[in-house]
Amino acid sequence: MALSRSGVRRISGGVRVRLTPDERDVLATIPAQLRDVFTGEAGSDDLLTRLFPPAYDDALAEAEYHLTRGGELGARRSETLDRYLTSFAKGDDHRAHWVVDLDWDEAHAWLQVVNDSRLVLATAAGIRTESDWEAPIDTPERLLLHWLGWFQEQLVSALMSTLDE
Amino acid sequence: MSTAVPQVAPDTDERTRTDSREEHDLPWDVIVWNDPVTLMSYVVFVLRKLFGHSEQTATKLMLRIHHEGKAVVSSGPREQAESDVARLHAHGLQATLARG
Repeated sequence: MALSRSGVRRISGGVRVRLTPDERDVLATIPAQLRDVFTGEAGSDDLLTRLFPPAYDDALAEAEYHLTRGGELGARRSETLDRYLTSFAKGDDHRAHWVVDLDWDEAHAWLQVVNDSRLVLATAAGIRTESDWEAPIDTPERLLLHWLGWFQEQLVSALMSTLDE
Repeated sequence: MSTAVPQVAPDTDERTRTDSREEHDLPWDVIVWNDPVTLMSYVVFVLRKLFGHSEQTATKLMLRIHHEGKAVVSSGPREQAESDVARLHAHGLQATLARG
């Protein structure tokens, strides 16, 4: 019997995420990390600007955009994070792996949350240009970023196939 | 001095009318900017999901963003362009709008 590996695959009505306990533990740390940034309790201006980027060059138009859209964008991110948390709690151990089945809405929420997490970690790690990725993967933050990149690719590839239907 | 007023006023009015006409007629461009963190496959996914592009069109746009630093992904009246920018922001992409 072949050992099944970690990854994301399509099932009827959504996707199945299968991870090692260590990988699950990584995903479990994301909500606290993001919530603190969303609520302004952690993170630099750089982080907030990356998560809530400007829409206009013009300062007045930008202030108006922030006023009219900012609340909605923040609330939407919190809802997405709640959906991630709720669905994460459905996960269960199966032999050596942890497995969770997500419907499409939940899978989209996971994709957004993982993307936001990569933006936050990469900004904090000082990744400003594409060549910054060429540095050796010699810190836990770098390892985490690369793993999250792999995991996000898995989610994108599972969700991309639904766009053709 | 007094004679200057009627001479200046019509010019100002004319300019205002032209500006306001341009503001209504010219579409606004929605621009997505390259960033070093977002996955290329994710950009393609978001462009397809939000704008209904084919895989080929979305990939072409993503490559333009990647190589040229930015690309116009949609254009239209200001309200629609701003709403597109907000949807792109909700998906974590760096997007701005500018009069085309």
